[in-house]
Amino acid sequence: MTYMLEARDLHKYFGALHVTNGVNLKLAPGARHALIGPNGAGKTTLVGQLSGVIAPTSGQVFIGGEDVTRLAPAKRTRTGLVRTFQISNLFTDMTVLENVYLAVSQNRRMGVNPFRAAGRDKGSIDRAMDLIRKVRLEPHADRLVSELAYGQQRLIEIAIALALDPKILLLDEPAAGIPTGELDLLLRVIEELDPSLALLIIEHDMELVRRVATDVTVLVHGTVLIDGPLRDVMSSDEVKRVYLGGGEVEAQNA
Amino acid sequence: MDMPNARFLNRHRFSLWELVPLIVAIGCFYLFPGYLTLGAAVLVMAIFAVSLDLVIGYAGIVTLGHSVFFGVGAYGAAKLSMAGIDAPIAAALIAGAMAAVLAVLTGPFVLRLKHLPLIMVTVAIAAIAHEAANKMSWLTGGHDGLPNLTFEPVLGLFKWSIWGTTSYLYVLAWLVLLVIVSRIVVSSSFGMALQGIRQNELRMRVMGAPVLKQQVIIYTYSAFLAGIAGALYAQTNNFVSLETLTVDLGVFALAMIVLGGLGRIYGAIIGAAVYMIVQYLAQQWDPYFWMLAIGVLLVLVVRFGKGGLLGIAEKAWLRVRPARPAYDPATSEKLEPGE
Repeated sequence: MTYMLEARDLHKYFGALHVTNGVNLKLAPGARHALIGPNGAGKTTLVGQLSGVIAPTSGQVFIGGEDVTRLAPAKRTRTGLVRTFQISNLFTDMTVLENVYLAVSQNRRMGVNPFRAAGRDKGSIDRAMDLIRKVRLEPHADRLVSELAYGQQRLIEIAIALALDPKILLLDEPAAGIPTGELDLLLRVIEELDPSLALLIIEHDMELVRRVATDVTVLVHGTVLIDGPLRDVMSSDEVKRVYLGGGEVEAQNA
Repeated sequence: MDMPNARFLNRHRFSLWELVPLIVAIGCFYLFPGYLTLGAAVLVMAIFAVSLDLVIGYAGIVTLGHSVFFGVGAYGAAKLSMAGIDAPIAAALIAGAMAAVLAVLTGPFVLRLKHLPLIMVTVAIAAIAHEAANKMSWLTGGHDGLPNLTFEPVLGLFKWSIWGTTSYLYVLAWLVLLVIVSRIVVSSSFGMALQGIRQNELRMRVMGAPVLKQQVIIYTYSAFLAGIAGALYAQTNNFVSLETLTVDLGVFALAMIVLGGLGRIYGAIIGAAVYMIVQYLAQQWDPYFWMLAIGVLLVLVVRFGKGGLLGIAEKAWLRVRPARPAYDPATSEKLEPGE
């Protein structure tokens, strides 16, 4: 079958450091896949290689069966692979609406038309407002993003990602820095995603992983320790030993 | 659907405030009839400053080589006049187009550079252009420049006079027209993308924005404006010299836009006016140390006023303006001056 996203035997060296060691990963349409692993396991480096920001030393990345290993990040975005960033990476001098509008208008290729007023581009503004509503930030639409709480900024990240019409969405630690009370909102946003979209979520919060993912890949020292259905992976003794520190209770608080 | 009061998305609406600079300019025409030549020079520099602000203030392309486009426009208009194409408006448009062609040819290479390398390369190009013009005296007149240029009356109706009456109004009309077009450009989706690039270029790339193409478009448009400014310089002075190609010109224009407020078209205009007037007065005071006055002014503005003179004025206005019941207070608080 053709996978939405496939990584074949990826390797990445930083000098002598072997950060990604023969990783294989496959995302089918509608996948809800989590990538977990202890700090320093190479999760973000792997996401970088999938999204094209980091070039792998060897191995290949395919999107919808096409080899995109040499494709620049912008072009990968155009093929439907969209990522969010672990650290908020927004346009801080702009409002929430402006941030999301910018993504919508770039995606609609309005960004090279110098004579169409942004304020008259009602189609893109409406679309941006829909996305803002989706992440429940409508009351804050005209606030500067720098004035918003960190958790809200993470939701803007997701709205921007959705504005780019993703077929494959990579969420890099979406829950990092979000207070526990606000996690439900993030979960609801993720649960409402288009069911046909392939989702790869890189996450430390095991509660979130349990509720979102159907499949899990565990990365340790740049190598895939185990991958498979959520239940199998979570009950694997090896995973408990290496990653979870041996206990279910601890895992919940990780 | 209610649209929230987003600042950028309202920018295409012209406000009555924008008439103030025009009223001031027309007022000066009647109040200071003896200074219209200086006035025309101020307005030419205002166009040049606006062109530089579009690339530096809006798109974040820090160049110090913009004098090349001004010089190409100036020499272009001069050569056109010598070749018999001396209808001023047509000559200015052709001269602007020459500068734009140069920008569209060099932009795709130069704009791949960022930050310090970009600054160094643009300075180098400007210096080379100046020296090349000096050496090619068969074309440019070298150190003597190209004097005694003549141009037809504007639209065949308004004759040029030594008092600068026609010059002043002619350049003012250009400035108004170019400001209106530039306003449209910066409030478009394209203009917003430029500001996105300035704030976070990597993010724009990851969003799939054609960053280089967007930068080349604004660079070319800006060069067109700079070329027109150069042509107007030639037409209002009846001569061009190597002065129009010095690196200093680009540096002075940068000082003007910082003084007025980066990334605001009207800031560039105010900056150019204040700079040129202070320069004129300071030169009367001391022909050798006049730059001291500009230097002190620049330091004070940068130190105490974020957003230049226009930023200071906006802050003062926000403090004294009457309460506006139409606004939700929570909203108006966010409508800060700045972008």
